[in-house]
Amino acid sequence: MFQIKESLSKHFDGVMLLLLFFVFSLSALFIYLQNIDTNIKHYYEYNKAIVKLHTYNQEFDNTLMRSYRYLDNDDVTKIEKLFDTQLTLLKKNKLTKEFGSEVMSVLDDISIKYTKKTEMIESFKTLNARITSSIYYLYELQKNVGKGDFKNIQIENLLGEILFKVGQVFLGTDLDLLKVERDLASLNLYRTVDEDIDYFYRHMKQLLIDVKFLNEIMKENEALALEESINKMSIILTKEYLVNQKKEEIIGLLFFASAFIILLVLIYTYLKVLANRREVFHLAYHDTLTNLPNRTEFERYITATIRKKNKQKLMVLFIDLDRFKVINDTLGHDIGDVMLIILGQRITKVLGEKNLLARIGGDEFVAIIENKKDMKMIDVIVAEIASVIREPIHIRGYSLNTTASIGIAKYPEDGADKSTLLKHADSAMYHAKDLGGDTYAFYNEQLSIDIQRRLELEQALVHALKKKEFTLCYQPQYRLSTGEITGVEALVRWKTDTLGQVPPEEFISLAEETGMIVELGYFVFRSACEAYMRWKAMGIDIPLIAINISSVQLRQPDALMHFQNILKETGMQAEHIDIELTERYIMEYTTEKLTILDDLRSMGCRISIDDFGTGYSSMSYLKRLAIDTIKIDKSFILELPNNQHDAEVSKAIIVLSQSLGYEVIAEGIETKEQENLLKALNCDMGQGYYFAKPMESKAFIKFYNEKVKGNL
Amino acid sequence: MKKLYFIFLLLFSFVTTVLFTAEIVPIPSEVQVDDKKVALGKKLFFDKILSKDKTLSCASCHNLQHNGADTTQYTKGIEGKVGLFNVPTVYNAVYNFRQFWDGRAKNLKEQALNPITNPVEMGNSLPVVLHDLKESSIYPRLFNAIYDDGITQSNLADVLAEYEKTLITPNSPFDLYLKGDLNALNAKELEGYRLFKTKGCISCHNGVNIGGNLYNKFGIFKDAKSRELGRYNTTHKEQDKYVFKVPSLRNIALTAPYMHDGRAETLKEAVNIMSQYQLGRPMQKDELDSIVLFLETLTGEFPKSVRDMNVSD
Repeated sequence: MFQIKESLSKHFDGVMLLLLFFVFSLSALFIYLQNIDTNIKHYYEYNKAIVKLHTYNQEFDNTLMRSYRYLDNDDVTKIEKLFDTQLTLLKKNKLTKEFGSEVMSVLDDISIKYTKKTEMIESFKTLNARITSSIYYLYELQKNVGKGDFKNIQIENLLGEILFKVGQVFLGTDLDLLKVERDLASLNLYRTVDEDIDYFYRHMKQLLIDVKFLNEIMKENEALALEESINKMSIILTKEYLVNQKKEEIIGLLFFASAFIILLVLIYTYLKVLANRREVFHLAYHDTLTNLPNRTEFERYITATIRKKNKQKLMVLFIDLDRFKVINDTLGHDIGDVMLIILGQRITKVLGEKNLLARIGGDEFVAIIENKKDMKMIDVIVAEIASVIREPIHIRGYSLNTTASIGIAKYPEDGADKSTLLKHADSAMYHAKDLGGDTYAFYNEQLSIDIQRRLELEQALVHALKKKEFTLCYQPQYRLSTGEITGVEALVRWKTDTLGQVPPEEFISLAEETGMIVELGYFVFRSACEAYMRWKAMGIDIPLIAINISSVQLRQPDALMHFQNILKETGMQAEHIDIELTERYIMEYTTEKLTILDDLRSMGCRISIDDFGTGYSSMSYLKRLAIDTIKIDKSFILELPNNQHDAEVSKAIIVLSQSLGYEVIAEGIETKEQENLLKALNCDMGQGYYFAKPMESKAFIKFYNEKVKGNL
Repeated sequence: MKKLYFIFLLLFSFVTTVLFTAEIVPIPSEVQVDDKKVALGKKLFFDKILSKDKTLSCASCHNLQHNGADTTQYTKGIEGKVGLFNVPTVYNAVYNFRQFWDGRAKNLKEQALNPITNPVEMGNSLPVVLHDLKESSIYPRLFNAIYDDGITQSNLADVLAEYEKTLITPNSPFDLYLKGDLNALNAKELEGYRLFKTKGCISCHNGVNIGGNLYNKFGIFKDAKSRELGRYNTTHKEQDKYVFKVPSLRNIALTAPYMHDGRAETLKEAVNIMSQYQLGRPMQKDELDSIVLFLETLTGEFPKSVRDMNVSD
């Protein structure tokens, strides 16, 4: 039972059930109405028949009035037949079913009475024939008696008296039977006198008998009251008709009321559906958080716009918030959401009503600039957008700063369809991001080429480890003062079948983005350790091997364990390992409260800061960290000794580092002059082409042997 | 006295005008019938298949070539059984208000099956008749062509009745006279007609069938000593004893013997019986002759179908 109810409510809602209810009830009403209509139609038929019966009965009664006058027997027969026909018709009809058994019993009553009545009429006809014939003859006889030889005033008077009384019946007077009988008794005495008088007497006698019968029939007819039965039938039918008519009226009202209610329900439902549809439409095409159009709406809109405004220009702005993920992760989604809402409102304000802003992803907004005036001053608009994004956002006591990278693609120049346009705007945005964020970039073909290469690299990178495409090169580091090799930096090289030699600047960042860096890092670490152990076995004893470790890798929770395992497996001692880290990582490290550096250092590893001077780290951070070496970025060395500014920076770094107790190593020394200057600046160590290029293990072994032997 | 006489005269003229306006109406020259039913009815009318021993047809007792009846007092049914009534003619029977001498059948259809089952007539039973008809080689097809339900009791009666409707005899000299041909009757015959009216015959013998539209007692002024009780058998009322249907006078010259029991051999004798028993008034010999002359003008034309049969015979 419950299941049925459940499945019912699943398929039919309230309105549906209500409508179904009305459909059923209206059908029922309609059938009922048809029924009543049939009843009423039948009523008319029956009533017609009854009226006919009534008329015929009247004609019978009229016939019975003609007691002493000629009757048209054929006519009476005709009426009898007509009455019969109507009665049969009525009996054949389904009277009982439609009007109840009362009608049937009345009909039976009529039928019985009618049979009696026809018998009466037949008897009446017989008597009528006799009486009319006799009366005619009586008058003839009276005439004969008057003319005959026999004359008797008394008899004449007697005959006259009798005939007068008989004649009076034609004037409507009842025949006084007693008086006539008395007169007839007097006449009886004269019967033998004249044959005519005898006949007169006999006919009169017969007449009296017949008239008596006739009177009896009249009384019987009155008692029979066929008329009443017919009337009764008529009354019953009329009553039934009135009831039906009343029902018809009520049903009409019900019909109207039902139709009206259905109409109201339908109007109500329709309005609700309309509202629902608007809401669903809005939901489907809008982002629930910011209430901005969503990706679907954006795509629909841009497709429609392109189709509609054929060859008219427009621009697609891809706006991506820089470092939004950090805010989301550190402060929680709630704050990130509020930020998105506020930023959406701000950008909308800048764009105005003529341009569309959509949110197509987490922190990705897309704007379509259609307005010609706005397109002409796109730089101003974009700058305005960037500026409103940059404005601090105050949420729950936080004052948040964010920036955005904006990519711009133009239609039709940069793409003919929505996906190309969006892709290219995205590329431009990435380019802006690559430029350091908080800026904007227009799309150009080179971007596509870059992106294409990036894609190819990405794909190649996936299989590179398996295909053993990575190799390590080693670049010696040496003490500037003595020229002795203090260490060697392990540098990864990648050579693919399809793309050839890929420079590390290209694939390292890619590996970081894709997460490949983790595995690659372990590979480099292991390979470096193995190489070191091989050399050691060959008698090549270098104090340190420097290995670059990505910050991404260090964030892995199990990184330390992996490093320890590799050390254990290769037999490498931690004291010989120098871990090189980028300056940027140091910043993140201090804010994120990681401990891995301390752990590595306590194991015996040395820690170096790579590319020092390019980031924006402050010395105060360095102070807090357990670091052994600072590596001056090669960009500072490149223009030495001519660039006074770089020379000053290098000097400052060297002095400051050494004052903090760090050793300093200069990268990218390519000339004798550079080396001399750095020596003069008291830089501890150097690395670069001037001393030695990065080289493969074999070449390094050879170089080492030569160097050491040379030194020896 | 004079006043009384005056009133009397007034009454007499009134009575003569009002009382005897009874009329005789000519027979229509054709009737509306269903030809298919008539053809089948005719076939059955002449078919002995309806009688028990297959010796009699309707036509055996209702000789259409002669008078639509029989010339004997009581006709013989199957196995020589003798009937109770003198055979009434089928001619113009359609215009009778009831059928049979005692009027027990309302119409031809009600009457049609009676002689078939009457033990002293065809002596058959309806199931047997229907069975025989269904077994026959022609009747199922003929009935099915007319009725959806084929051979039934009602349909059998219907076709027979339909055929009998065609058995009318129009254009008797008297009908022609009534229709306006004043020469159709000669002076003697017209005198007969006058007597027919004034003697009171017309009070019972009127209408289209000159009779056949009411009942009357046989023997009003004299006991007719009738064996049959007539209508009493149906109504069981004392006053209906010896009451019979007043027969039609059409073709009366052909349908001797007369009365329900065929007691009168000649027409003159019959008129005489009528005058004494029914009208209760004496008639002179010449008056009787005149009336008989008039009655002889009531013989009409037999239907064409019957006349054609005559030729082929």
